[in-house]
Amino acid sequence: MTQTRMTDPTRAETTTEMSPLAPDPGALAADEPGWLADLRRAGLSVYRARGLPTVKVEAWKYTNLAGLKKIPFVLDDGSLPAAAGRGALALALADAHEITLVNGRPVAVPDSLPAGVRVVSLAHLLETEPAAVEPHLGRLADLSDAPMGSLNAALMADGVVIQVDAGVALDRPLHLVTVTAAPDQARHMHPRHLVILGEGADATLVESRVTAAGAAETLSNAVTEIRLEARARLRHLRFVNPGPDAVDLDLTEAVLAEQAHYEAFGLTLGGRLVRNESRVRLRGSGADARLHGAYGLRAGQHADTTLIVDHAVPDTTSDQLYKGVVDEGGKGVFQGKVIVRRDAQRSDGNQLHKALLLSRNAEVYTKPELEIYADDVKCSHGATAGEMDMDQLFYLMARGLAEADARALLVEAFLDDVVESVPEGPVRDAFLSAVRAWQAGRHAVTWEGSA
Amino acid sequence: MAATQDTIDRIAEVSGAYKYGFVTEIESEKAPKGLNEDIIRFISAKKAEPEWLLDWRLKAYRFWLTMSEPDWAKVGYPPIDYQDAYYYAAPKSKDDAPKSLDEVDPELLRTYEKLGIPLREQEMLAGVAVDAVFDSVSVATTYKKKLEEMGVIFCSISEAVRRYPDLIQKYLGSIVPYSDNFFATLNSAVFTDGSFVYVPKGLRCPMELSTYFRINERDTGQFERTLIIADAGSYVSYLEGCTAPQRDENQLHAAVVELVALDDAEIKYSTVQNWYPGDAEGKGGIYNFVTKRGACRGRNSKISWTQVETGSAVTWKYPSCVLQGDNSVGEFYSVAITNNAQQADTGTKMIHIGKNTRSRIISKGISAGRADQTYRGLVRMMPKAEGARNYTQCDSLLIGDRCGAHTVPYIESRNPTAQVEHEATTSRISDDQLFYCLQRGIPEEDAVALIVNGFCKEVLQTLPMEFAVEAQKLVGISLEGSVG
Repeated sequence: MTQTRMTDPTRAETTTEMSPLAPDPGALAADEPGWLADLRRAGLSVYRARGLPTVKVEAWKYTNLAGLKKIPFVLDDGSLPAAAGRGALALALADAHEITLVNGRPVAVPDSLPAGVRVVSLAHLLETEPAAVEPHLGRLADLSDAPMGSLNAALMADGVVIQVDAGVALDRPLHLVTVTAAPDQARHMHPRHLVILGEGADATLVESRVTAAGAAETLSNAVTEIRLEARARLRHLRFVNPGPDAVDLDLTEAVLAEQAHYEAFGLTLGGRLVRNESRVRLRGSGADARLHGAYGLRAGQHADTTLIVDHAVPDTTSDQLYKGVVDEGGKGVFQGKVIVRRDAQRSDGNQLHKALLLSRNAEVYTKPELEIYADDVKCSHGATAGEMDMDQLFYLMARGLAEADARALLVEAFLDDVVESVPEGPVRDAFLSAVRAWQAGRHAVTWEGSA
Repeated sequence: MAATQDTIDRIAEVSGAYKYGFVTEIESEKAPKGLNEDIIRFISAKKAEPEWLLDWRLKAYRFWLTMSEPDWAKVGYPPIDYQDAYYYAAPKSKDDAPKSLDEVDPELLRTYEKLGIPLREQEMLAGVAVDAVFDSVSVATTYKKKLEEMGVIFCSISEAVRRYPDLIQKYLGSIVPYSDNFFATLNSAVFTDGSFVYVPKGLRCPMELSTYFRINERDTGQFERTLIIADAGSYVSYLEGCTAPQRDENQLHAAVVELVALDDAEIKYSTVQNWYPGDAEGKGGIYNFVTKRGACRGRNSKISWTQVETGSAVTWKYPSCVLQGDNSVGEFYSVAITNNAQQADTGTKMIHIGKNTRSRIISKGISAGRADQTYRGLVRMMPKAEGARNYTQCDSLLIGDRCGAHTVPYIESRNPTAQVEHEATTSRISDDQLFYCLQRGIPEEDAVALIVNGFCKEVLQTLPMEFAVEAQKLVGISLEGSVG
């Protein structure tokens, strides 16, 4: 292995061979407003030109989608009954406005929402009131460099539109339970969500991404566009816990105006192949983005976190902090990027990724990147990867803990450290108990393995 | 990329027989412009190379034809026409060179003066045709003799091909294979000269080997190839380049450097690169696209790269260490300064294969004017790299608000017992530090040089003594005009 060429970040693999996911241009919905048809066509042409991203594409260097070609996916047609049900693995939040989606289509929406808050199906809105969507849909996210995001634009069918009017503060969190289901055969789906917070609005959006029991392979390729007007504040807390046959790709693009705050937290514990890509643009001074998260992976799991924060104007701040625990056969990827544009003076951007490798065959790939064009900035990044600290382990064992318990405690503490950056409350508690459950499951597996 | 009829005709003309016919001595100064198999045969014949080497060159060339120029680096330059260049030129006739320092660009002389370079050396660097044997050459001759007595081989690579074919055949291309990357492959096809060093078993080379000592073979051209072999238990320190700006007419430099350290051996490779960076507007200047790689083959071996990069219009360079032997150590210390319109995409790769391998990366990037600089580094922990350690620190300093500083680290961990740590910061010269210096009567430019030297201290300290002193001065000079 002396050949260690770095791969090409810009050159996309131009495949003439169509992947099974790519639709025939004629198949695109015909009776739609012109702007929407244009959006779909543009998306399709990007996807057709670039194809399914390969590891030769820098942004997908460590996440290989080649396996998708072997699965005979069919496009989800929305035929599944609502009864596909709420996944048992979703977060249990008693005090929340819950919205359930099956394969990206809302099937249950809360009956009472405070004044100034609207939660509707995207498909419904496109049919009844397209003008309300037009200024936002496909306008916030620039997907010209994102083949999978572009494919979503071409194929999106439904999703949720959340609007919170200026000055309105939501009392309880909105809880989006997205269930993927494929009882008969492998399905792919392309949910599209839109979140608009008016000036000074305040909301907490929780997402649970889970799979219905007994599902065949699913591929969810979601795009979420978020706009935060001046002084708006959104807490976006995500629990990614789909089943072992789920491929879950998510691209979130958030645009922040002056003084807006975006606090995201992602906890990934499930799925076969998960990619959470967040792109945040700080467009107004005083805007602040916090992208925190944790992941725990076991055999056969691959989780990719790709973050890009773009400091486009002066006086903006951002913080990326991710911690991951990877067990036997798991593979973790963290790609973070901070861009500071010319003249975006006094930007403050931090980035930190820490990974704990629990076993011989665990793999972690990290690429924390800084791209800076202004001089009066404070930017730093850090990354560590390695095994458990033997001193800490010794300390606990010296105090009478069995080795397995001591290890479990340290793993928990490692993840809790970042989970605790979620504001105190039921969501944080639910996250902490999910980590505990994951840890217990890991334990159980170890026990079985040694028996 | 077929040869043009013109080229074919001209080759036929000079060689007497088209194809395979380059055995006779020819008077021509240069091979015709362009690149094709005949040119490669021509170069090989000129150097009276053995058959296997010609085959190797041709293999590289054929592979090169299938490759495309890399575009992933964060640098931009107009496309290079590889057919519009001479790939072989005999050592320059002294007639074209300036006759005395009076004919040399006064700007260049001013820099020499600031660096405190002796007059003789100034003449040498500026390419003045001096027929008389000057001091450094005689010094060089003495040194060479002494080295030979101790069994150290230090010569040009063409000479080594003739005199030590076994060593060359064994090691050439064993670290950077002919198919490695676009520029290294091009180099493999057309390299004209470079240095060869072999340090025998158990010997600690008593002096720093420097290209200074190979002065009579200075015209090594744009496709340099260096191969250094440190046999078991030996030590060698090699200095490449010099602090003074060199007169150089070649636009594209695609060099390859290969290092091999066997059991318990250590190689310290220091570079000060100060080629012409182009004018303030970014016109002209050297493209420095270099592949440098060292293999720590043996147990407990060590390779240390130190580089001070202040020159060239575009730099594309990643000195790397492949840590194969157990307990081997790789180090990379770098200071890169870009000013005006310079662009540099530089860094390192540390590939940990053996057990308990350790690597350390200290990179300091300073960007001023409208320059763009990227640190790009890879740390890879292979599954068998038990107990391996890496520490990386890369700091960037921006001077002015029109420049860019980027950091692109790649960290790949595939062994839980391997520890990787990466830290990076980006900042500018603090107003407080500057104010403190100004208040004490230090002029602004000197103050900046002082602060930047402090920033780079960790790296400059690893340079051999005299080099370090010169490099410090160079840091100040490179940043001239970037403040105020």
